[in-house]
Amino acid sequence: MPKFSIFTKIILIVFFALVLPLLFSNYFIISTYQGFINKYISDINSDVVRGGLAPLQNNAYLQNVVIFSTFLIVVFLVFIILSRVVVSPIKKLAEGTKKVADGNFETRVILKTGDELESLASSFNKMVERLKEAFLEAEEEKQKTMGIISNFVDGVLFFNEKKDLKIINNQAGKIFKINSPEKIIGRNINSFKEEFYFPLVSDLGEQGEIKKVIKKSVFLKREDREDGDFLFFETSIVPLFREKSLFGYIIILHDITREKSIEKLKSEFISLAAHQLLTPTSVVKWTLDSAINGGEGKVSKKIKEALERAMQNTERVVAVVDDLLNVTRIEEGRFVGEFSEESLKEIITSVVESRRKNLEKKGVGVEIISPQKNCLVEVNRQSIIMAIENLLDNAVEYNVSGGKVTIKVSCDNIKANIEFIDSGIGIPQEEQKKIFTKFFRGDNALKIKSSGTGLGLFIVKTVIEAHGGNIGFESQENKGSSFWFSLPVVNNK
Amino acid sequence: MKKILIIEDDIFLRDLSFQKLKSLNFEVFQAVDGEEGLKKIIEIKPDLVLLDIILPGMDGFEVLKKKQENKEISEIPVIVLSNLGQKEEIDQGIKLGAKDYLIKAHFTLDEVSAKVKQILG
Repeated sequence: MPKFSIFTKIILIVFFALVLPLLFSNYFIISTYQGFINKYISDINSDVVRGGLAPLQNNAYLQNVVIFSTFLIVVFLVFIILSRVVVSPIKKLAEGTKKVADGNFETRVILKTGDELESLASSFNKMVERLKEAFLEAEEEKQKTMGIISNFVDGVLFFNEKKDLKIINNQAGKIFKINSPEKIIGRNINSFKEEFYFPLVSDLGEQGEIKKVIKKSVFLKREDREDGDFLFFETSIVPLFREKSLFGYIIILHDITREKSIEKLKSEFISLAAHQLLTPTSVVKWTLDSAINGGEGKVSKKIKEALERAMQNTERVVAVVDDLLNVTRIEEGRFVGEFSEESLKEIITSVVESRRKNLEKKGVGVEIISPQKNCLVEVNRQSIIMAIENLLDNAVEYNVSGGKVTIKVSCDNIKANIEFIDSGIGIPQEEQKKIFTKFFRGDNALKIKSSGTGLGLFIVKTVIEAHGGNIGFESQENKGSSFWFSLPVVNNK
Repeated sequence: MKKILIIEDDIFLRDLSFQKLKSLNFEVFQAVDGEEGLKKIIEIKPDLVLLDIILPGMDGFEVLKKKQENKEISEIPVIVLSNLGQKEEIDQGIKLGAKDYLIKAHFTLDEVSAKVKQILG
């Protein structure tokens, strides 16, 4: 077929289907009636006239029928051609599109019309090819992801934005003791209260939209296992977003039972080692104390001084062992115990009071600046006392004789700030980075007090952070340091 | 003369506390493990028991438990004197009826004696 554009084809069709038949039929009609008129004029007085016009009329009628029929046949044929040339390819394209929409990516539309429809079909085929590739790629990605999820060592659950379960992997099924996890797909989180006893999971159900990843460092344990074993988990809720709008949540349940049992062994070992160390240390301490106090007979001043030095160092051993035990507990995540509502001012005052003797000995004055309003915080009293003691002891220990420590307390609706400002030796600039690391001791601090363990500030930082607070400092060598920490306040007051 | 029973497996600590309490005019008894300790509590019915926790065989917690279960001796006050000083251990000792829980390395014998005197009135 010659290559014409659709526009040319339509023009040709209109010409052949309408204009040409009309021209022909007009020509025949005119020529027929012309013949009839001529014949009528020549035969005006003949028998024909007398016999009426009927024969002539019959002849013209027959001719009209032939002309009209020819016209109809031509129009019909032209429409057949029209449908073959234009409508049929469009129909083919429509069928192809439907098949692709139904997911048959093998569909191709082959048109040899030589017009725009042929190039449309070719583009359509290319598009289907690309679509097929993209679909296969997406399918492959999906398979990969599902493969990873189902064989993942952690329990993984996916909930949509309405919090209906969409994916649950084998491990999560095992954790929740669900034999056929696929059967529970589609159920809402709130219908899992009994099966999913994990607080984090029910948290998701009870809360509204969760915008940020909830990664609780607290672990949960399952106590209802028939074999009586404990399972420990670290769980996280990860909200997922598509163009800033939330479309679901992934819950990851990370089994840390093995780590816990190793930690337990380590802790038992350290606890035992500490005990074994402390027992002979206690013997030495009790003996020295007795000797210093004359329990073993009279001692000279010089010997007494020597015994006191020995006593101080025995205390040092005890302090190191205590700190080591504390660090072990911190690393196990069980250092900070139960929380209660406490007044910061009251805690600080009691700590300062308990350190009164040492303050007098060192000749350091303490000033507490606190607002009228009571700053209430939800804390583990013992560990916050320990943190404050540590910071106050440092501010006093590394102060100059006759120096000063200012403790500033302030709070707003969100947090409370406590600052310890001293007039002490400060921390050398180059050592400031390491100040909160385990066993670190500043060079100038070592000259003043050789017996520190270098664990104090590490412990303080851990305690504060375990309370959801922050800690920091500013320091200038030979001028003094200012250590501060903040704690979230009890908000309903 | 008030009777005090020391249950302690470490010979040095036992000796030191024995001598100290004796010098303070107490009648002092000794036991080297939990089993002997419990037996002596029942036999002697001391006015106070100084109890270590880590002991061979029956440990201090078990002694406390058994003592608590036995009505005859359940009222006898016990001071735990141990170097196990974790919060959980202290809580457990107090829960099992100990009057006080002292960490040996944190106290001197004088301080321990003061606690003893305080409890015995």
